[in-house]
Order: sequence, then C-alpha cells, then structure tokens
Amino acid sequence: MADVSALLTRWQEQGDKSALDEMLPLVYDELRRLARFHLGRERPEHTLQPTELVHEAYMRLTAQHKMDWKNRAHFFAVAACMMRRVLLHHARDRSSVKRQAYSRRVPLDFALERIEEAADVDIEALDAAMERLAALDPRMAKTVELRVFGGLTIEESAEVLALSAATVKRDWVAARLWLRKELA
Amino acid sequence: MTSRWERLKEIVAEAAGLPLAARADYLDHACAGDTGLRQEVETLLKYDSPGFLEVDAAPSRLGPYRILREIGRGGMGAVYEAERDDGEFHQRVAIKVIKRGMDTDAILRRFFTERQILARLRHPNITRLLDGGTFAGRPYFVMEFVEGLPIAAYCWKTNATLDARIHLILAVCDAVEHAHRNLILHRDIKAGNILVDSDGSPKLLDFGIAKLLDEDGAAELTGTGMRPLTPQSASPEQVRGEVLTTASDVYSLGLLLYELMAGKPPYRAGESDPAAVARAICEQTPPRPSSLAAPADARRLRGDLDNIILKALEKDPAERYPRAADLAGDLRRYLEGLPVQARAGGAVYRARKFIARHRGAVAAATLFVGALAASTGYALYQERRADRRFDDLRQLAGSFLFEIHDAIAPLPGSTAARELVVKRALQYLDSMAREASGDIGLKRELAESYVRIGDAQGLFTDANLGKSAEARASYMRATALYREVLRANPADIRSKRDLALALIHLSTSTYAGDRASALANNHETIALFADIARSQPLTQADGIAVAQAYFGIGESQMMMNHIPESLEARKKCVEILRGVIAQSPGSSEAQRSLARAEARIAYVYLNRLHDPDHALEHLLNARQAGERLVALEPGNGAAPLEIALIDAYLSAVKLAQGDAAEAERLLRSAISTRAEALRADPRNFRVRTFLISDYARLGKLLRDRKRDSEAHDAFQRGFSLAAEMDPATARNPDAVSSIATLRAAAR
Repeated sequence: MADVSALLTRWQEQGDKSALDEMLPLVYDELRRLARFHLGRERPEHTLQPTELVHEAYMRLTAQHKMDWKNRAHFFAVAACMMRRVLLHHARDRSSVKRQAYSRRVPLDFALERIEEAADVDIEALDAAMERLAALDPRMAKTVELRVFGGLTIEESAEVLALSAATVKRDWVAARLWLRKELA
Repeated sequence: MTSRWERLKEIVAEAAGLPLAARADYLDHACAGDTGLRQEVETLLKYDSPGFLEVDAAPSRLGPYRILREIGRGGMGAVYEAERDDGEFHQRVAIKVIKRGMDTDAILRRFFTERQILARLRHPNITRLLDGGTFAGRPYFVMEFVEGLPIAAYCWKTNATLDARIHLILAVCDAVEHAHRNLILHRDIKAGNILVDSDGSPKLLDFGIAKLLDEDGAAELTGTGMRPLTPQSASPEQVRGEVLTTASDVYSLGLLLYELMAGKPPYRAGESDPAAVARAICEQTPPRPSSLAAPADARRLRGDLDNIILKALEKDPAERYPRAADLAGDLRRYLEGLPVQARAGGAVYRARKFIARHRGAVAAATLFVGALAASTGYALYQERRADRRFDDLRQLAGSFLFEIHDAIAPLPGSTAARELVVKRALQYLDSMAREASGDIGLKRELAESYVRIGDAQGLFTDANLGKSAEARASYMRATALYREVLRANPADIRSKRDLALALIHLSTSTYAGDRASALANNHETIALFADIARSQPLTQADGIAVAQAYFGIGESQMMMNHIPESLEARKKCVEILRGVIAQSPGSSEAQRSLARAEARIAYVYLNRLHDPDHALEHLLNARQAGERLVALEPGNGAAPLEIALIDAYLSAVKLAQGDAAEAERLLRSAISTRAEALRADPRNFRVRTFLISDYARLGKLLRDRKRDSEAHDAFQRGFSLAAEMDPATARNPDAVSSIATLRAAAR
C-alpha cells in the first residue's frame, strides 16, 4: 500500500508540485476500489456516506501518526476533488448500463444518492452548476467541493484555502444560495 | 466588478443569518440605496433552503422525537430509530424521512387527509403510523418501532419449517384482511416490509405509505396511477398502471409466499432491462414453486401448495383469490388436510386470454372508494364508474361538495374535513373548466365555484386553510372566467358585479405580495361599481363591497409606505360603511368591516405615525362596532375574534402610553379568546399565527418588567404553538413572519 504521507509532506512543506501529481492517481484509484468493493469493517453498506469513503481512503493511504490535522485537511481537499470525479464517472457508467434498480448496488451508488439527495438534482447538473460557479468565483466553487465531496468542516476548508473561517463561512452561505438559484 | 460581487456575498451571507423580520432593516442599511444590489441580494435570499447540499446532515431531533441512530436507507429516504422524550413517557419509534425531490406539500396533504383513516388500523401484525411532519422541507413519518429481522432472514436464521413459514404468512394475511375491511390497500407488500419480532410475530410495515407517496394524485380518484415502488414486486395491473384492488395485495402476498416457499422469487431479479421485467410480470407464467424449491420442501409443495401460490399470482385479478382472507382460508385448509379451492390447469391458457383482452386497453370498470373521513366524523363512500359523466361532475363540483363544505365550515375542528372537500372540488372543477369553452352559463357557474374554493383555501380574513398562494390561483381563474362572461355580454350588470366582487377577493389574497396589481384590482372594482351606479342604485351589499375595495387600497398603500394615501383610503372606507349602517343598522357585515377598518386606521396612527392618542380614539370606535357585531351574531364563534384583534391593538396603544398593567390585561384577554378558538379548531391557521405573535409580545412585555420566569413561559407557549403548526401551512408568509417575530423577541 502506497503511503501518501511522504507525498503530502513533499507537496505541502517543500512545495514540490510533482508530489501532488503522483498523489492524485493514488487517491483516485483507492476511492474507486473502495467504492466498488467495500472492504471496510463489518457494517451495513446502506448507511455509507460519501465522506466515509474519503475517510477510509485516508486511513488506507496514509500512515496516520505522521499527519497533523492540517495535512489531513489537505489530503481531504485532494480526495474531495477526486471524489467528485469518481462519482461523476460512476453516474455516467451507471446511466449507460441502465441497471440501477436491478443489480446489486455498490457503495458508490449510496454515496451518489446521498449527494444527489442533498443537492436535489442529479450529479451532472450539480457538476455543471459548480463549473459555472467556478467561472464566476473559483474560491466559492472550491469551498463547495471541499464541503460537499470531502466533508471538510468550515475550519478545515479555511486551512486548505488559506483564508479565515469567517470568509469561508460567508462563501459557503452565498454559494449555497447561488447554486440553489442556479439549479432551480 | 469584483468588489461589488464581494460586497454582494457579504450582504447575502449576513442577511441569511438574520431572522426574516430583521432582514429588511439590515438590507436598508447595508445596500444604502443601491436598488440594483438590493434586488440581487433579495433574489438570492429567496433561495434559502435548509438542508441543501448538507450531505451529512442527520437530524438530531424531529419534533418531540430524539434521533438515536440511522437504521436504514432506501429508495424513499432514510429511516431512523428515535425516542419520544417529552417527559411523560418514553416511546421508541422508527422515523422515515422522505428524500428530497418528492412533492412535500402533496405528500403531507395526503398524510393529513389519510391520517384518520390510517389511525383506524389497529392490529397486532401491523405497525402503526403514529405521526408525521417535516424536517428541512422533507416530510417524515413516525411509526411504531419493531425490533426484529426481515421475514426472509428470520426464516433462514431460525431454519423455519414449511408449516412455520405458512403460519407466518397467515398472520400477515390477517393483517392485510383487517386493512381491507377498513378500505385500505397496502400497495407495497414485500418481504422487506415485514419484520418478525423476538416473539416470532410478523409485523407489516409502511401501511398506507405507498399511497401517500404516490406522485400521481389520480390514485385518489380512480385508484390507478400507482407507479410500482419495487419493480420485481409489482403486480401486472400495477405495471400497466391500472386499478389496484384488494386482489393486487393478494398478488403481493402470493409473491411473498412464493419467495418463502421456493426460496427465490418467480421472476429473475438479475434482469437488466426494466421492460423485460415488466413483460415477464404481465405475460410469463411463473414456474411452479416446487420446481425451484429445496428437495425436502419440493415434495410438500407439489400439488395443493403450488396451486394455491399460482392462483394468488394469476395475471387476471379476477382469477385470484379476491381477498386476503380467501387465500388464508385455502392455506388453513391445506394445513388441516382439507381439499383446497385452488385447482391446477388452465393458468397458461387463462393468462394468454387475459393478455389478449387487455392489450392496450384500460380496465372497463373501476371501483373507487373514497373516504371523506375526518374529525367531524362525516364519511362518504362513493362508487364511481370509469365512464363518469360530465353532468355528474357539474353537480358534484357546483353544489354537492359546497353544501358539505358550507355545512361543516362553522363547526369547530372542521378544517381537515374541509381541506379534503376543497381538494376534491378543485379536481372536479379543473376537469370541467377544460371542457367549458363556449358555454357562458357554465363559465359563470365555474367562476362562482372557483371563488368559493379560493375562500376555503385561504381568504385572509376568515377561518381558513392558510394557503394564500393557492387561493390566489383560484381567484385568478375565477376573474379570468368572469372577464370572458363580461366580454360576451358587455352591458350585463350582473356580470360587472360578479367581476367586481371576484376582484376584491383576488386583491385580498394579493396585497401582501404583488401590491401594484392588488391596487389596480381594487380601483377596477370601484370603477365597475361606479359604472353600475349609473344605471341602478347600489345595494347595501354593493356599498360594503366598495368599502372593502377602499380598505384594500389602504392596505396596499400602507405596504408601499404611502401613509397619507393609506389613511385617506381607510377613512373613505369608514365613511361609506357608516352610510350603510345608517340605512341598515342590522347589517352585521357592515359592522364587521367597520371594526376592521377602524382598527387598521388605529394601526397606522400607532405604528407609522407614532400617535397613540389618535390610535386610541379609532380603536374605541372599532371596539364599539365589534361589540355590536357580537350582539348581532351571538352564535358566530368568529365574532369574539374581532374583539380579540382590537384588544391586542389596544394593548399596544396602552403600552405606548406607558400603562403596562392595562396593556398586559388587554393582551391576556386577547390571548384567552384566541386560545379558546384554537382549542376548538387546532388547525385554524390564522388564529394560531396571531397567538404566536401575541405570546412574543407578552413575553417581551413581561421580560421588560423583569418578570423573567413568566416571560420565559410565554415564549415557550409561543414556540410550542409554532412547533405544532401544520407543516403544510408553516411556509405561509404570515406564519413565517409571526415565528420570526417570536424568535427575535425571545433572544
């Protein structure tokens, strides 16, 4: 199992951009793998939440004792971005096979459902609206990604974005209203 | 650009955190006259929606229930285990929170109309539906909590014998039969909906929920329209969107039997194509259960049990056991070794014949059982045929339903029953309006009906269902129809009068929202009456109508902050009413209008001109009119409420004049009148809204006098009234503002 702790440190503390490039596919693959074959501890999979997948990827990919909460937040920021893509791809696969009601559902189905339920629209529509938001205000769009797909708190998001918690809170409130209007 | 956008975000975020009542003041200050900015902010604020994008948000409480844990999650939403902990007793419950995207209002409306019916279901094998409400805009249902295993898992785990499995299903059949006798179909019986508790007793979950969630309201009219919630467990008639009957539930019981006896469902669950599953359900004869079962069971299944199960699964509902009790009877006969009714043979033949008969067609006749059952105890059962005729509809909508409505309207506690009547009437009206193209008489009749529907839906000034947006829609339909009638007879006085009166109703439902059009409607009413007056003298009722139009103008002007214009219109209103009363002193309608108009004048003096002395003068006039009204209508429970309104205003005046003791006395007197009215009809939305504001004011008054514990008590009463509000009306602007006032006062 690859340990991304070292990569995180290289990226965060030494400013080594290539470390991030190495880390992205690791996180992406792990999320997809977890999402398909849920190997975690015994638990009814129907209570699975999207952020639990991120948590599990985190547990599996990092040697946690080396990580402080800031590094953890940065990992989650990467994972949030990957999670968004994983779910989007999964939704596309799923709709091309048209099998949702008739085959065994995988953890990703439940994760996707949670997101779509919270957003009141399908993930494609949410993603498109987030892209439009990014064109208007990239920082706000990033905040939404961190909160919705990574499960980061306001404080963790503030750390990742190097902003004050008050600013992030403001962006989050405004972004929700803007997206709701956009999706209405 | 960037700085403006940042500014916009800042203001929006700040305003979103404020109670509604405080937003306008904040925006005045923050936008500082930049109307464009303010407009953008206000537009965004309209999209405030709790729970949106909050993926992990699990409620910690729902009403009086404390959430303990999530126990499941399915197509409809999440299920939580919860506990009722309001001190009295601890009851464990299961709460199903319906997922976003379903029509909350419609579901809850159905819930409140069905609740009484569902409450009649008391059976040891049925989990009861206890309560319902909304959380973050989503409906939830509270059910009895069952600790147990799904029936299939239970059979597997306990290694249940064939006889034990049959006994389990017999208990389920009894539960379903009990429901059928109460005219309730389950519509979604399946293994996943049956839990077996620690005593080995099966409990059927979710009774009635399928109907509540049925997106197509048509189900209530015809019994059709049900979309299968679980594809594999749908009956052929469900797949075809046809009428569901007791035989449909029998089919579901047959599937359950099949699964528990054979160990697998009759149609392959692995099918990837929904159309193929649907085809299999409608056309394919299921294999005999014995052919799929474990060898030990297969021997016993062969023969009678195979026949019983396949009879329950017949494609044609008429070929099945008609009721759950009949299926249970055959199962019992089998257990006792008696001959059973189900006979082998002909299944394939009959299925083919049935499909040939039904391809592309709808069932010929439908049995519709609708229950107008509610707190008044009034129940109406009505049989309807698929080929219902237009004249029946006309009669139903035009008179029958209104007679019921008007007969029960004055009864305390009748709101729920009226709501159902209104809903039915609207369905009939809409279907007629589509066919009314050239018929002027019918249009007039329809318009009249829409006005009455609108009144029932929420005329602001009467006991109502608190649904002003829906009322407005009905009034708009009415005025549009009257305009068509008037266009056909431009000189007809009656048509002018009809339109003028309907416009008053429309503007009454509009002036809190679209002020300009409310104003225009009222001016049009006055002009129409001026026109009528040129050809005949105005009646007393006309005079009152004109006064009402001026009253409405006064409201609109006040909301636009045009104080002198508002006062002028109201004084005109009072003048006209005094003229009417001089001629007919016995007119209670004129006294009622006068009391209201004087009270509103007082309101302007008190709150806008800060002139309590003038306010007091007009309030005393108002109270005099109110007392005359009570004397004129001794049996009308609404008349004392007019006096309560005036007393509440008087209390504010006394407070402004520094007489806190008198202010408290008056406010408490208003509260006691209103509380009594609410006790008589807990769903009276207007009284509830007023009471919430009353308690906010009482709490504030007491706290300012340092009587903190009494103040706390008053706020609590306000909050519990708000918590008990029918969720379907909690979003009405008046409700929202009364609750915001309470929150702000209680801070």
